Amino acid sequence: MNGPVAPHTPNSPNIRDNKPLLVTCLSIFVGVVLLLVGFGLGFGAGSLFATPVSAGSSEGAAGEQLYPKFGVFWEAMDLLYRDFYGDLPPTEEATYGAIKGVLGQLDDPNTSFMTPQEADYFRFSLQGSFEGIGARVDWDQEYDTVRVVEPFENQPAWNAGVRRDDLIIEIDGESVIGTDLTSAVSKIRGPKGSTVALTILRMGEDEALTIEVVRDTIELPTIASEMLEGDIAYVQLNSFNENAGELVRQAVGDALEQNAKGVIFDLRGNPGGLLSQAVEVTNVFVQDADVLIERFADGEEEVYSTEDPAIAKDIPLVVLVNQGSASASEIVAGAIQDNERGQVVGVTTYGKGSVQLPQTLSDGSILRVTIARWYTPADRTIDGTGLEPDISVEISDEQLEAGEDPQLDKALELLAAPE
Amino acid sequence: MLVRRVLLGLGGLSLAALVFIAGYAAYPLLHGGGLLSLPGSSLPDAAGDAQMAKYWQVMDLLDRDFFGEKPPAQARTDGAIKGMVESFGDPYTFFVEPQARELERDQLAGMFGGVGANLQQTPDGYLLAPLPGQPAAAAGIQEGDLLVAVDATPVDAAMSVDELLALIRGPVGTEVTLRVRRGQEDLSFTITRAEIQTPSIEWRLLESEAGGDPAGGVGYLRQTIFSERSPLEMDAAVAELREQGALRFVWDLRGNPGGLLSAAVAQSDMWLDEGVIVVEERAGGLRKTFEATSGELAAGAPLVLLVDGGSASASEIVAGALHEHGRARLVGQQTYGKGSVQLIHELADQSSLHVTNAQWYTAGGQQISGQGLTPDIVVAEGDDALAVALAALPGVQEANLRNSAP
Repeated sequence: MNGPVAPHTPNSPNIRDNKPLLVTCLSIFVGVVLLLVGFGLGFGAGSLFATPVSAGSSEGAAGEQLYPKFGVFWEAMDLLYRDFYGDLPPTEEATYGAIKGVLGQLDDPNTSFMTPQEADYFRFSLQGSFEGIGARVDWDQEYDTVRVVEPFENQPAWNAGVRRDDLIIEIDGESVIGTDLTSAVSKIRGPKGSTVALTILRMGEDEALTIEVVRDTIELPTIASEMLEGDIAYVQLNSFNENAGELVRQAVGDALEQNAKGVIFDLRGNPGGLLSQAVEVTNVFVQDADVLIERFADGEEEVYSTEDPAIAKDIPLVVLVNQGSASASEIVAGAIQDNERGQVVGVTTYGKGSVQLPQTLSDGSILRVTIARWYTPADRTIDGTGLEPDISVEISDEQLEAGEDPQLDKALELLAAPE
Repeated sequence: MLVRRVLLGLGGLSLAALVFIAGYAAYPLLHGGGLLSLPGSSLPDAAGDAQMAKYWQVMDLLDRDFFGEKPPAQARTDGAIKGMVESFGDPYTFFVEPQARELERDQLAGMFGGVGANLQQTPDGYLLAPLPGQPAAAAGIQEGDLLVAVDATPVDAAMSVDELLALIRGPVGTEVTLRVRRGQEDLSFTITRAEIQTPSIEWRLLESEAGGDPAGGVGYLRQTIFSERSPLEMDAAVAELREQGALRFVWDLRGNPGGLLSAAVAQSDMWLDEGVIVVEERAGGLRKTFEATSGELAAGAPLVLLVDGGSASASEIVAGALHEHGRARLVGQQTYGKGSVQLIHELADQSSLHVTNAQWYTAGGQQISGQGLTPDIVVAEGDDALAVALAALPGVQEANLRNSAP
């Protein structure tokens, strides 16, 4: 009856109650990039939160409110340290566990906590190339495990047969159900040339598949651009890091100098990043326009607008999106749509309409708190639903495998057509 | 839509919980009260506690900035305890929230104060099915009545089984008012809670082939958990079976996830005359040996234990002890392999904490964690293990000869 299933759900009779501890933002490049995804988003709001929070400020509202119920925590901790048979964890681990436990009670996977170690690892991840399997993953709330958002074309995961929406339930034979994204990702990553075995559940397959992937160095430049036939400029942005606005401005500026007749701006698979850069990037294409509305817990609202002259405010524009386009990407696509600046082509986007504020605590740990929701200039929310493209073009695994790109083809067709 | 039948006695959920609890230590169980005030316990002086400062800092940030529903204090504390306990990295050390704890306690006690009705969870809510001769039936509850409230608390389909059972159950002799909808009518019944037992052992005399088994009748005992009442139940069952002519026994522990250590020791003792049953090693290295006392329930009667991958903990203690002493043969499949013992501490708010406090070893010094016990006769999954057990059960003559051998 019970047997092997038991150890996965030690805390509760019901797996649903056993929420993952650290559910990270929305997507992480397994292997690395891990961009500032949701966790940067929100720097724009920094000024609102300039007041540093001091440790031990427990006389504050939270402290008072929690005191009456918190005695049980100390009771439990004392008993554990007194009676436990086995190695005792350092007390700071217990504290981090407690923090993650509380965050697990929030119904928000984007509010998360990273221990100093995890934070270091994430910082390291932000550097250019990394060694991994070349896929973006996130945490699937329903199945309480890792989900593949996007295996990058011609990278190890894709080549080994990992596909979009695969659920990874074991890594090298060890279950990851009910754990958290950070720890799962750290198991997936590893040195170039080593092998990782992923046990995968796939819709339509009765049994779990085991796929072995040989890790490699994954290079993922922030931006890539080229001039396609018919003088159509193609600009692909892979993340909204702090240089994103400048990089897009340069790439598009170069294209204009080469007399480009149209621009295809590819945000497929771009998980987002800094809110400020979403505004900067939008500003390359639109002038004197609203980009997004941010609304906070206390009802305050802030409207972000483009403030600089736009270098490419007239050139025909198509924005490519897919299910891996999230947060900052959705802000840009939404602003392009609402300002009627160009056409959005592809499939419904990821649907992350919240903003996180990352705060580094004194010991180097990082807390990211969802502080706001954002809305498009026309006051639409995409949270949980995603942004609908103006022109829907699907792309199948078979087409990907054959190197076909019907979404790009559609963009070229739209830009070639006489206006 | 999933429709699940749950006994008021044994909720499906609470059973699931027991799966990994397998193997409690007996002592503090159900009597955790004395452990509540600990010397050196640093009750909430959070600001003064450097370690927890980080925790309070995070709480402050959440309260100030978080966009979304903030969980109430109770849920936060539960979450904090769960997270803290998880940092110990032991699947058997965990925290049980108050309502689930109530059910767990009932299950280990083998009885509870209840109304004697089954609950059926449907998309519309919970339907009642009273058990004959029990208080609910006597009060007038009918099968199919839709439960709409327990005392002052409204009940709907969204309520969890745990929550509902916690409301309905209570001390024997107290009253509970159930409001039900029957057709168009709303009816109210006040019922006095009675002791509802949840037997851990089912037993019967197996039909023997063609009138009178020369090798002796077989008593079959199936045990689902090791509760406080299990030793008593076994005593009564074996006595009754012997009266009916049983000379040989099959004790079925398949799927039995364990329970109380005290019950496992007492029940092992019933089949042994002497020798070590189990050795427990506590945190700190202290060892305690449990030994059999003289006297057997059915002296020398041939015995086979049926086990499988779901036989864990207390089941493995029994199987290990009776097997090593040559008292019983094991038939079935490799057992689960859980060799640790947990203390269950009741905390101030009625929640409980399971803490792994010891490892146990068989008399022969075998540690079974992660390995389990290998049966003498392995039965392939899907094969009739009971038939194999019966074939492996020595006849009475044979057994007597063996016993009297010099």
